[in-house]
Amino acid sequence: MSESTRDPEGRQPPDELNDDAGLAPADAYDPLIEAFKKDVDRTLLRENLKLTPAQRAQKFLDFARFAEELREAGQRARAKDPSWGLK
Amino acid sequence: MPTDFPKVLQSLTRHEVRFILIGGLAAIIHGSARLTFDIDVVYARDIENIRRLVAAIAPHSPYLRGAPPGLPFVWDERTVRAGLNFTLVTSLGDVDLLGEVAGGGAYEQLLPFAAEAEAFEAKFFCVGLDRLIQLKRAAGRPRDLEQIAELQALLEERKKRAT
Repeated sequence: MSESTRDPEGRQPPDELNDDAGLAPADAYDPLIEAFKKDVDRTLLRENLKLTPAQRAQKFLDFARFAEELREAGQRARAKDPSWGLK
Repeated sequence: MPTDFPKVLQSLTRHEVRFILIGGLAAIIHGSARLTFDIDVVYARDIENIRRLVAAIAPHSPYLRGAPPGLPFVWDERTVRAGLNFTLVTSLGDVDLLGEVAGGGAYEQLLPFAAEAEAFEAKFFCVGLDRLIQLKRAAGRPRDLEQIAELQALLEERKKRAT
C-alpha cells in the first residue's frame, strides 16, 4: 500500500484481515470509499440515529409517498403541456 | 409503481415466512438517508418455508422483472425449489427473493448476523449493519460505492454515540 492510500487510523484495506466467510471487516479502509465518504451528509445520519428503527422506516415511507406525489404532479403537468419543464 | 413496503413485509410475516431483510430497506432501518425502490430478502430454503413464501407472494401476481410478457412463468413451490434467486415484479411492487446472497450465503449463514426489527406493524429479522456493509462490498457493484460510504459513516457515528 502506498503512502497516499494509507489510512491515518491504521485500518487495513478490504482484501486483508478477511473473516472466515472471506469478508473484510465492515470498517476496513478503502481509499475509494473514503473519497465518497467526504460527501456524506452526516447531519442527516445523526438525525436518523435519534429515531427508533420503526420511526426511520415510517419516515422513509412518508418521504417515498411524497416523492411519488411529486412524480405524479410532473406527469400531470407534462400531459397537459408536453413542453413543460423544457424551457 | 412504488413498492408497498408495509404490505410486502406484512404478507411475509402473516404467512410466517422465515426471511432476513437486506439491501436498501435494511440500510434505512439502520439510519441511511438514501431512498430505495425495491425490497430484498434472503429466505430459508426448506420445503415448509418455500410453501409459506409461495403462499405469501402468490396473491400479488408475481412475474419475472424485466422478462418479456407472456412467458410461461408459474409461481409455485416447484419453481422456487428449482430456482434460487427471484427478482420479481408484483402488484405490491418490486420484490427480490434471494436463496443466497454474495458474501452472506444462505438464510442460516446470515441469521447469526441479523437482529429482530419491528416496522410497518411487522416483526422480522434485519441484517446487522456490519454484515450489510460486508454484503454490499462483496456484491462488487460500482453503484454501491456511495451507499457503502454512507453505511461506514453510519457505523462511525454509531460508535461515536456508544462511547
